[in-house]
Amino acid sequence: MIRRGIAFKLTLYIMTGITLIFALIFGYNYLYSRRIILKNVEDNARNLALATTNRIDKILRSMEVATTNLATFLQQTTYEEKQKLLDLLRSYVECNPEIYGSTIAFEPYAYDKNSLYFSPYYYKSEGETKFIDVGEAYHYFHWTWYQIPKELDRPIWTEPFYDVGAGNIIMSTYSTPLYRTVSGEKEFLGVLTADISLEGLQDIVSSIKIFESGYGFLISRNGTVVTHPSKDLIMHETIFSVAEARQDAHLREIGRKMIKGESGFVPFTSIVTEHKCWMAYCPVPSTGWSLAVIYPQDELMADVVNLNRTVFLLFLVGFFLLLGVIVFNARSITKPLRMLSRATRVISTGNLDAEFPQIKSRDEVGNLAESFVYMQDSLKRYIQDLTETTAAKERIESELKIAREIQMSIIPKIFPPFPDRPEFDIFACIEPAKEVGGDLYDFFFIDDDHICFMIGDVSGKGVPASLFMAVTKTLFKANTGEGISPDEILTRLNNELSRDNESCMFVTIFSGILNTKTGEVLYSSAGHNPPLVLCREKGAEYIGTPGGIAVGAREGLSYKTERLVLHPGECLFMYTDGVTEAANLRDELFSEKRLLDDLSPLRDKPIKDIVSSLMEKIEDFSQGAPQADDITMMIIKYFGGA
Amino acid sequence: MEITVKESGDVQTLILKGRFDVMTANSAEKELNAFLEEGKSKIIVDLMDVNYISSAGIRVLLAAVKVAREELAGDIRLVGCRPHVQKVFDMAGFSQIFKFFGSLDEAVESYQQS
Repeated sequence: MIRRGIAFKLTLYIMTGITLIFALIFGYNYLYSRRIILKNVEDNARNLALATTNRIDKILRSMEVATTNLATFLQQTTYEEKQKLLDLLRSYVECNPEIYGSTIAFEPYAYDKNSLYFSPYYYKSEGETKFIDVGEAYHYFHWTWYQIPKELDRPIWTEPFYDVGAGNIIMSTYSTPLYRTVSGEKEFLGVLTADISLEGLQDIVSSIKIFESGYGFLISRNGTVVTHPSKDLIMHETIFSVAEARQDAHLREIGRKMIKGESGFVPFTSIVTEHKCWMAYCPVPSTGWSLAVIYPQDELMADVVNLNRTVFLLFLVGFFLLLGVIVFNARSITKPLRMLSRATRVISTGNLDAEFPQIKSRDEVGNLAESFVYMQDSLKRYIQDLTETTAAKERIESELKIAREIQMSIIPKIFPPFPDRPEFDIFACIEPAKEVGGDLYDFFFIDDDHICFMIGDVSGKGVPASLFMAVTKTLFKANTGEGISPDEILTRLNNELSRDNESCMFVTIFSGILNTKTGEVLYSSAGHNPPLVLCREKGAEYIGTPGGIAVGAREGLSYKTERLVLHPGECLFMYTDGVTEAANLRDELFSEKRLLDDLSPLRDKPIKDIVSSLMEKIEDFSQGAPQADDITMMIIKYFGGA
Repeated sequence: MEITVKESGDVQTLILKGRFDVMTANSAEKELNAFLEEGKSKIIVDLMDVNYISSAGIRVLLAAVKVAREELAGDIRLVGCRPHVQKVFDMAGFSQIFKFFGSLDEAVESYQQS
């Protein structure tokens, strides 16, 4: 039964393989493209941050330069002409577009001994240049923009602040200390400031457009948010307070790095969008502020993700297409196989004439189909031959069986054969080998007092031997008669058998005539195995045989008659070479010696038992080795004349 | 069974080696018949290296010797043989029909003497 078909297997393996390969390629591609993009982003971001900070820095520096120039110029002047000073200041403000406003703030009583403060301040507002004296708004001496340059002897940028008094805008001030030489000593005079409106900077920073949700922000030296898309953070929060509010230690760390003036590129979660981002930050050298640009990760990766999604979809489409193709293909391969298998099953039920399906494809399957048809033909022929030969063989075997039966039926088989003759008893048996054989025995009365007996072994095996055996038996009997001695019987028998015997078949014979009154046995042998006499005292003994030549080989041979006497109680035991040449599995033969030894102890038994015991001994000896020749035994016991 | 044919003068020798039984007797028979048909009736069969002989082998020899002696005034003389092979000839009395020699040379010589 097909559990997992070829189609299934093919499909499974190929599709699995393809999926694996795809997963590999896809995975690698995804990871690598991410990496590439990231690299690009980093470069991009850093560049953008750098470019932006440069822009900002440029503006700030130009302000520094302008201020420094003015300061240098002012060092050279006297301040007597107030109007000139004011005009100078005014044009300074008007000519520098970046400068929102500027003041020269004098030390108390430094300008005018009578006035505590003097800080003329021009600023741009609503398209005009306006003027105030800062001193009127507040006492500026303690403010950072005044104090720090005074303390440090150098110009500084202030932290961004919300200047209510002067401009009401968020600004940062660059203030430079001014000196005059009094009696050879440098004396602090006051501060020259240039204010930059952070709106301009905010514009620069907010012009940073990165994809959809990317942005930039600026923080001051202390971390105060200078510009940011979330306007409510500006000036109200520092990067640290935001970090605190969000419990974001990472942000705090970034903040620290930024105000230290470091540059970097880090992953970041945006405050604004709550999405994962990448942030590049770098310092604004002149003010010590720091700029950060935010690159939204998902937008960054959007293209890659889309690409991958498309690729994956393409794969899916391809997958199913391929699946369909493979299944179709595999089934088209297995279809003929299934057809073949069905047809074979039909044929195997015995219907050898069933048609095999026509499979014309010129591939392995077509080849297979062809072979099947060829095999079917061969099988048919083979079975036909086999049937014929089997029939013939069975015929022969049954005929052989019948031949065997006929053969066996012509020899005497009733024992005891002469129950009315107490002078003697005869027992004989043939244990046939597998094949039809040529052993024979016979006994019959020649006259009232003489019984003739013979045992013989036809050369060879098979049907010829059995035919010859039948002929021999018949001719032997035909050649016996009153007064004809054993040697004469054999002589005549030999002449008759040798005539027209082209195949030179021969038969060994031992024959004898027992005188039932006296126990005298006249015997003659034609090349047969010497029999044994069993007597009570001496045991078993081989008798000497006249040694004639086997009957049937040559015409004109002569034989000799010998004589022995059986005393009452004595037996004459005759056998064929099936006994002495019975072999065991080691190819040892039973032999004459063993026959003698085994027979001796049996001599007092009834003759039937002697034969059966000996038969047993032969069986024991051969231990399952196949019987090669007929085993024939005949025994005559003499009891005494009546 | 291996069969080697040797000729020395008008004496043909068949040297047999192995089993001389119903399977192999045919080939020996062919050789003997070939000799007899050509009238070569002085034949020696060397049985020294025969380790087994059955009635089939004996019958081949019997048939050949009949023709050799009765039709061609020749003979088939045997050289050999191993004890159990000899026994087969002796028992059936065929050693009275065939002449046995101890060696091939003796057998060949025997032809020269007659």
